[in-house]
Amino acid sequence: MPPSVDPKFAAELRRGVVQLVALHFLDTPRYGYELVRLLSAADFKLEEGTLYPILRRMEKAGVLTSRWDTEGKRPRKYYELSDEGRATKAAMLAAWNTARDATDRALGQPMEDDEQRPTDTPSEGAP
Amino acid sequence: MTEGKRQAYLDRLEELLPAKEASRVREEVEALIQDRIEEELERSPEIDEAEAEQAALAALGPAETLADDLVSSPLTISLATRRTFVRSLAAVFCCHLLLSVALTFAGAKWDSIPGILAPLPEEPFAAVFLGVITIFLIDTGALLCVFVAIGRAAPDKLRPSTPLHAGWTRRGAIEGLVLLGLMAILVNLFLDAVFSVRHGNEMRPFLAEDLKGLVPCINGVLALFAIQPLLTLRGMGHGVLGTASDGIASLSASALLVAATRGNLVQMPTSDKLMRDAADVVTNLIERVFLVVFLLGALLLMLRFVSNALRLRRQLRR
Repeated sequence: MPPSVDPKFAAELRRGVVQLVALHFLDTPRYGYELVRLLSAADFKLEEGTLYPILRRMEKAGVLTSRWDTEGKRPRKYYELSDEGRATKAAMLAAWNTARDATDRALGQPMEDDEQRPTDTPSEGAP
Repeated sequence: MTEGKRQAYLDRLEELLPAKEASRVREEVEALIQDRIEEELERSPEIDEAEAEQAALAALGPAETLADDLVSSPLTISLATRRTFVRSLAAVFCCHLLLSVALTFAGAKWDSIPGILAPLPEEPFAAVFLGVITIFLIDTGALLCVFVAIGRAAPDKLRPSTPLHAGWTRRGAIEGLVLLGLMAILVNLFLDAVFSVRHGNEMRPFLAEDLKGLVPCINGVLALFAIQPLLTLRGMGHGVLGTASDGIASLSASALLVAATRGNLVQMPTSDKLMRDAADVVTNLIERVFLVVFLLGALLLMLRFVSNALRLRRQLRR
């Protein structure tokens, strides 16, 4: 029976990218629990107790803006990316792509874009 | 019942948070709880609102943990800081306790430094035990304040460089021996000349006979302090013998300083220009200064003794 993955390893991996995934979903205004549902559907199970402090820290850092919507049956606070948040998300995405490609190279996995292969590997049909 | 648990949670959370954030966070968390309750009831119609609320509060986690996560700069005390604190506390507590014991054996009847340095009660045993606990609590509190103010570097910044430190280099050892020599000359030949006051055309010494009677003991302590610099000149200052001799010298000097406070320190001579009452006042004033200097010196030397004891323990383990 193959050994199971250390839960801490999986948790650390997720912790590193959950902020990027949350920023991706916050391209459109979402309220707190809606974001919990979206993350859970994307296999990033996060309880409100974990997500809420993240949202507050991002809001304090200027990455998110928020507003209260009082038009519904009860008030809801909606979060959305600010301009600074969009720039932050782009930077995080670039960092994620770099890390993913580096990991793939190290592990010998084929990359998504074959043109990025090292040139010392002969391609098919070469003389 | 339902509102009770939710309100209790929110009240607790609000109580833990800084005032400027508390009410805002409360509103936001309350909205989160409401959303979760609605979702739970939609997803599982068979459960009631109390169960849905339970699930919502469980998803948030304990109010204490949530408040901790919301604080912008959570307090983290590194392992190095914790270890330094514990070691410093052990050293300071040992010194403080030894000094109190010394004062007790010397028969002191009142606090040398009120509220901080005093003899231990002699009976009953419970009072002695409480006295030791009190010393520990005072030292813990004081050291905590020092660490909060200065940080982990506190022991290095506060460690006294006593003038009798022989140093670990040959040059330091020679300087130490010269200093010890000068002190021996001062104590044996010029004590009366230095500690005297002018009365008319003559200088009259004001040190009491009790204090001058300790000169042979002072010579003994100076000789003990000279051992380590001499060993350093022979290349053995870092060893067990050097550490032990310095420790014994520090302990002896500390005990001597405490013992010196027991007798009369100053006897201001009277004259037609300085009447008995005024002389007594001046005597008392100078004695208090001597007392503070002696006891502070004893404390620093006791710290040095404990430091040497810890070093000796490490050396003997190797």
